[in-house]
Amino acid sequence: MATGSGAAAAAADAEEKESGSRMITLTSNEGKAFVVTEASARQSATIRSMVDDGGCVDKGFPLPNVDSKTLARVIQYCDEHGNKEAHTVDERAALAKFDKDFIAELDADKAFLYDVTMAANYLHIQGLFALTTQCIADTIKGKTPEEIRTAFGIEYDLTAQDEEEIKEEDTHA
Amino acid sequence: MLLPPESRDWSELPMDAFSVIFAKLGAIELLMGAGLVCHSWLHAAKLPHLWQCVEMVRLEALSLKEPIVMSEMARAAVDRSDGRLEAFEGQWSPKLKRLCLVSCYSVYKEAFIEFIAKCPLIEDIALINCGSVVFHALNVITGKSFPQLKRFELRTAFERPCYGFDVPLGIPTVVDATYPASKVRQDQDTY
Repeated sequence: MATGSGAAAAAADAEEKESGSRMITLTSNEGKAFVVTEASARQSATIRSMVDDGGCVDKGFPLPNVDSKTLARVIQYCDEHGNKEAHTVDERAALAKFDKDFIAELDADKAFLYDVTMAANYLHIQGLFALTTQCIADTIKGKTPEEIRTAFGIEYDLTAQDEEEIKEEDTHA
Repeated sequence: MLLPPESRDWSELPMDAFSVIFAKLGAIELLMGAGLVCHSWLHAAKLPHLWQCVEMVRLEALSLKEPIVMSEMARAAVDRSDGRLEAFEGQWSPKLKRLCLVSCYSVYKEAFIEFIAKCPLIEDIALINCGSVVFHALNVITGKSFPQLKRFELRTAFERPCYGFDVPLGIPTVVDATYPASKVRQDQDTY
């Protein structure tokens, strides 16, 4: 058993390690800096590998493909998943509830859903990417091509050759 | 990403995103919905890995019940897999008339026997390069009554007649849409 002060220091050390209390700065393409915990930043495989490779942790990470509004929302997800425990049933339920509310808001704003999906893809945040792509897939499900075009604001641009290919496949039998 | 709110181009998603999103959709949705949206979605819907596992049981969503339409879609799905089809799951129909399996080495014999016994109207069975399942098939077919059976095509690696059946070569193969929901899994190495 260590002495009082030693034990306290060891506990603080362990706590620092566990909670990843080292801070990391992420900078949006508008130059706005966001300071996050390492545990939060490590939700991104892209940043995680840069940190583990001894990258420029002190200087922070510029993210030229992500705007401030999107980055703030992405960090909100990373904070929730990186900083909070999910061991008990209640904790897991709270996280699931967070995900549900988080994606419901994006679902109502397709442009924002697009931006967050792109950022999750770029930063390799697996859980967030799974969440947004599932939302996109759910929007597509059960719809006709025209309804899908309307939902996402896509123009019909199939070429005569595309149409020929589709027709050929349809009448293959 | 400094774009005005409505200018996100959903037709040009990165391939990583397409491949994950489309993998969450069924074969019918890819063929009749997402794959017909625009040029880039059509081409993304042709990624062969999307067609490794084909599942065609969600008929209600698009109210497609015409056997001929299902048959064409099944064929298109198999074509798109480009030789990488690993599992095909469809809906069993007691009116099934044609069944063709090509290079399906790992069809479970119990599943096959159970399936074929439920198809009294079968007219045409083709088993091409399917390993040991052919012997179980022969046992079932010789032991049961299939009054409508008109053609039984069998091609094995051994290229020899079995149980008095000639082994016809060069007959066009047929893939039918109506396939068992009873977890018959196929490994289709070559098509």
